[in-house]
This record gives sequence, C-alpha cells and structure tokens, in this order.
Amino acid sequence: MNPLYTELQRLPRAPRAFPERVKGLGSLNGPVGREIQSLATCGLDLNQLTKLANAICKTRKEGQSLDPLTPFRLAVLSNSTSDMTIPPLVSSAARHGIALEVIQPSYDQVAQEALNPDSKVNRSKPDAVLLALDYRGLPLKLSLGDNEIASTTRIDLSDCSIKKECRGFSAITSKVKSSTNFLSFIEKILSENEKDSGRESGLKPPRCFNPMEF
Amino acid sequence: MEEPQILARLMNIFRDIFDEDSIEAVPELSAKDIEGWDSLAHIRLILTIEKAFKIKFATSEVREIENVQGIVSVIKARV
Repeated sequence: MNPLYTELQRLPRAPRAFPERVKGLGSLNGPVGREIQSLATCGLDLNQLTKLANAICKTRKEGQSLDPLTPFRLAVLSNSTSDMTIPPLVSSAARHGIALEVIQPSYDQVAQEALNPDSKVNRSKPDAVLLALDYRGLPLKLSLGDNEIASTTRIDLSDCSIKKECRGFSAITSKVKSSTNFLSFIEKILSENEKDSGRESGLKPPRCFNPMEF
Repeated sequence: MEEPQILARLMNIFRDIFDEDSIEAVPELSAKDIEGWDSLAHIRLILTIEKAFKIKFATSEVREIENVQGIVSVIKARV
C-alpha cells in the first residue's frame, strides 16, 4: 500500500516534542482544541494517533473545554473487532476540526443496541451511527466458487435483520446519517419495503434484492 | 544484532507504546508487569516492532510470545 496514505506521509512530520505536548494537554489553561488540532495535523503513526486520542478522551472526561473543535458524537456498531480503528478516528477527526466522541457498545451487539430504546447507543443520543458490518452481518450464503448457490444468494426482505436494526435507529434517533454505498443499499431496502407494504394482503409477491447490484 | 542492542531498542518501543518512561525491557518482562498490555496493545506492540526491525512475525509467534525474551528470540532469528 502507498505510505503516502497509510502513513499519512502527505502531512508534516510530527514534532520531536510530540509526546511531551500530548502529556501537557492536561496542564494547559483554557480551551485545548487548537493545540489538539495542531498535533493532529501531523502525519502520525498508529501509536501517536492512539496517544492523542487517549489524551482527547481524558481531557473531555476532566471537563476541559475542547473549543474551538466542533463536538460530534458517533456510535460505532460493528460485528467485528473495531477497537483498533477508534483512536485513529478520534485523532483524525481533530485534524478536521471535530471533537469526536465515540460510543462503542460491546462486541457484536448490533441488533440489541439498535432495537433496545434503553441501550447504551440510544441513551447516548449520537449525532450519527456508523454501521461497520462485514459480510457476516448480511444474510448471505457462503458461495465461493459455487455459481449455483451464488445465483440463489439474495436478501429476502421478510427476514432481513439489518432492516429491523435500521428501523430501530430511525425510530429513536432523528439524525442517523449515511453516505456509503452500503447504507444506500439499506435505504433502498427500506424504501422498497414501504412500497411492498401491501404484501400481507397478497397483492404483491415478496421482493428480493441482490446486494451485488449496489 | 546482539541481544543487548535488541533490548535497548525494545525498551524505547515499550516506553513509547505504554507511555511509561520507567519501563526496563528485561527478558522476563511480561504483560502482567505492565498496566495496559492487553491484546490490543499487544497488536500495536508487534506492529511497531515489525516496522522498527523490518521483520514480520508469524501469527503463531504472536500468540506464543509470553515475555520480552520471546520477542527477542524471534528478532534474533530474523535479523
């Protein structure tokens, strides 16, 4: 992979005093947002991104103002381990002027967090929810090299847990935002499901979607 | 590369990752001795060592490492 992107080589190198400046965030008087953004603007490696993210979290917990960074609360729901991606998200958000707070429920609790109004995610009232699901989160059959099974691998709307999970969020949070192809796919499922609302009366046959169309 | 040199470089890596300047990278140092040396920190540690020494750990080696001596053994075999 190109280190220009994987190691953020397009950005200025981190100052030698990076560790000391991160440690010093807690002792600064007044808002620390500008200092955080200045540090985040460097090409940081995974350890530096983690250090800065930990410092941001600590600063927030201690009640220090992160001004002029814009607060943003993001819930991350994933069916795989996403812990390694959270610190880089928090530090990189600061580079763009955002004080990102990530709500991360327990591992593989996507449906529970979405459908339970009293879940950690719903109680936190996030500005956005990131559904970081891989193929195991879709009701697909394993069909590597098997064209016959692949041709029958479709998502039946009557049994789509993702649809239910999305409904859980849309009913509770008013600001679920989406920009990925995957979420466009979910939106299409939901809108098509509305069109199919007459299905129970037998007016229309069940609809199926092939996710590969998206 | 000799063991003392490897330990010296490892010490800097440990101090950086665990944000603790008092860490001494002795062969018997293990996860129970350092607060925060959990499975995720272990992955960061391995990635950092791989980058610093320009080597790659096998998945089985990552699982089997129990202390600093285990890391040193893998490095000595590669460099």
